[in-house]
Amino acid sequence: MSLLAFLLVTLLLFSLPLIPAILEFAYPSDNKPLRIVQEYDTDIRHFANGFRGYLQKQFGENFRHVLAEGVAFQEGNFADGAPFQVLGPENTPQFSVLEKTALSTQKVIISTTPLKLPARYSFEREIYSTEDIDAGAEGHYRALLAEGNIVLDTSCTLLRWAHSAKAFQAGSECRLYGRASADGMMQLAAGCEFERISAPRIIFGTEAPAQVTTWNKDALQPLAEPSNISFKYNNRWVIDGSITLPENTYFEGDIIARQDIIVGRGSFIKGSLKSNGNLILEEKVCIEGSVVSAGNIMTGNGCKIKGPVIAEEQIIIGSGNNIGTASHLTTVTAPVVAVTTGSIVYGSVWALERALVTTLESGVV
Amino acid sequence: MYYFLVALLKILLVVIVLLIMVYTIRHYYFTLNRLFGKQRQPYINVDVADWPSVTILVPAHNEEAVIADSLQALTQVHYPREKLKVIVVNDRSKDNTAAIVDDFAVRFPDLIIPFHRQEGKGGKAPALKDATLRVDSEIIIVFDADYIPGRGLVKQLAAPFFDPEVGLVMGRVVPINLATNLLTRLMDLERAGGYQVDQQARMNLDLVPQYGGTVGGVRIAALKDVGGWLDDTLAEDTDITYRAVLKGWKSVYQNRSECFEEAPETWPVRIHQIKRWAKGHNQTLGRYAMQCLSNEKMRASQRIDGMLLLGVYAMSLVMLVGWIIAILLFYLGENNIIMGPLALMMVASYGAVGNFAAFFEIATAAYLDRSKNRIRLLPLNQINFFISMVSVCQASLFQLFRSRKRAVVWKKTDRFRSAGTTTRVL
Repeated sequence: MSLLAFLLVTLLLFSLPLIPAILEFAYPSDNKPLRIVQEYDTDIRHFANGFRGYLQKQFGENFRHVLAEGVAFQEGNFADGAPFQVLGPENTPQFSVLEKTALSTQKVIISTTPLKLPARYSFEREIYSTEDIDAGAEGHYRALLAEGNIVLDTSCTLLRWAHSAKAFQAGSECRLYGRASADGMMQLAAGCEFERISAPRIIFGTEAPAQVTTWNKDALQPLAEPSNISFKYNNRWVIDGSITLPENTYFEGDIIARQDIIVGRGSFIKGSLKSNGNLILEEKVCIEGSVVSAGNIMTGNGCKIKGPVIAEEQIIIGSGNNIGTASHLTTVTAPVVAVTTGSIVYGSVWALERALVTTLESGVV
Repeated sequence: MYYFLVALLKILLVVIVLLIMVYTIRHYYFTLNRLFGKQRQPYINVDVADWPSVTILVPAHNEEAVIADSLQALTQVHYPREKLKVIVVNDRSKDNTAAIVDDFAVRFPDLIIPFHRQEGKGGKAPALKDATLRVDSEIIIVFDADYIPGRGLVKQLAAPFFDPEVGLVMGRVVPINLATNLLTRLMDLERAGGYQVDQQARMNLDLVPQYGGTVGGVRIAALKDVGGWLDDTLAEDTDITYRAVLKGWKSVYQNRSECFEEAPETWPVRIHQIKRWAKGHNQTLGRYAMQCLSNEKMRASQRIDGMLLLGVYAMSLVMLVGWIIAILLFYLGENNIIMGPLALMMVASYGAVGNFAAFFEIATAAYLDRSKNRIRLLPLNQINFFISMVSVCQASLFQLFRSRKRAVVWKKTDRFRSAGTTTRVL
């Protein structure tokens, strides 16, 4: 009897830690596959498309045409309870007394004419226009979607996303959190901060961008093979250590360095660069390929890079740079990105932490 | 003679215990890195680019149950169509695989190219080798026939190749059928630990993330540099990883590049799979261990981790030998108070073999995945680990003592899904 009791107690003690496992096995409560969003395709317009879909549900499939043909002013709540205001011929939202006092509205604003948003107001829900959106200075906007242009005056704050079917412009000191995109051109003034932007052509600054430098390959010197190559295959060099390319050098191939890469002024590389340290392009360097660094990337003025440009710490783009081309869009991505006015990026700039439009005078982040 | 033998056994035990401690420290280091270290996924945000040309290879042998779902998903990926091709390698299937593949090729002639392989060695590696001869793109991405890629996955896997140092890329494998039974739930936990913690930590620390043969890509230039696929290996993925790394190419892992797979649903299938992995891995260990250790062009940390990665399956046999020695010494009365308990404790603390991870790695993975109650099954993973350890030991012993002239025989993993069920799950 005492032996039986001992065995039972021992069995119980050994089984106790297994009880949660046995219960979960017998009565599964967490047995769905890890959630993978199969439809996710990195499209920056995901939220904008989602909002269009939301409006379609409210107003029908042809909501854009319905709205564009003109509607009368109306207010109400959508099926999910979200308050909305459709502007008729008026081109500014109508605010209640409370909203005017608080300088804030929680209505979804839908405009069928070019929309003017007053300064210093906070719009806590999405705003849609079948035409342009002109946002007043120091305004706070959750999300903006325009079938025309979007223009943000100085010191505006975008909280989640914005998309323009045409051009997007942000004045100085704007803060673009989340994502901003345009199907046409995008222009960000000096002092703008952003996280993720995308457009076929993104101009940094309000001045006309500098003329693109041209290179005469025949006038350049071929790069001499360094002594510290670890691996070499078909003009792909892996350098054990750092490498500095002299000024006005020409090289066709890829260079990978275990430490830093410095490319001298006026050089032309028909290939890609990868540095496991820092990567510096001096003035007027052309890279017909990607530029990748495990550290920081800094480009001088007047550089041209086909892209992508990828760094694991910081990217500082000098003035007058051209990243990507109109026919080959590309991406600039790093935790921190600073782009000097006068540069153009064709494609996307994605900073995981913070990005800034800076000037030559103000320096970098 | 007796004392000499006992001394030898003690020395051997000390060496084994030290080895196990190294692996334990390694797993703890990876876990802590994953929790508190800097996480690296530098290429994941490349969303717009002049994308490289890609050929997706789908090796298939008797895959009628699953291949339609995989091909359907591939027809919907977002990638410039003029730069994408899918070559389905139908390797002498005896079921309806050929008919299914041909049907897709007719419906999507610009995308899907059937390759009905009728001769040559059997197995995935020889099939890939033959199929690669038909590839004229810059990148190959391989999906097994039971995999269901999402729309953005091909771009995500192509993005790292903008880095000229990268030769191989690997994404994360996620079981879709985990609700089937206890085995699939345990496999889900094991996979989570292996990818979410182990692989990502190796990426964070710039070590050697392994290309896993599916949900992964290879640069054609790298493949040519190392001499192409070898058709006499059971683990063409491990083999190509090491040959590429030894020649200065980098292997990278992207944790957010996830893809569904079908985990084995029966223990015989699981045992068969782990034995194949063990034999392939040990084969690679035999071929490249010395090169890895002696390659001065690799960093010391990469050489050490590369060796440890090569040894994961061999450690099952080593651990078993350690247990036997410890117990033997105990019964011979030769275990003093420090050696015996300490040795047994260290031997027990490792607790994992292969590419699946120690218990704490699995727990950490569940935490990072924000999984809730499934982690309660963790103690039951002892069943999985024990069966795997026995299977791996069997496979390793067989390898040690079989004739070297005997040909490598590939046996594919059985499938359990019926066609069309996947879309219901998704």
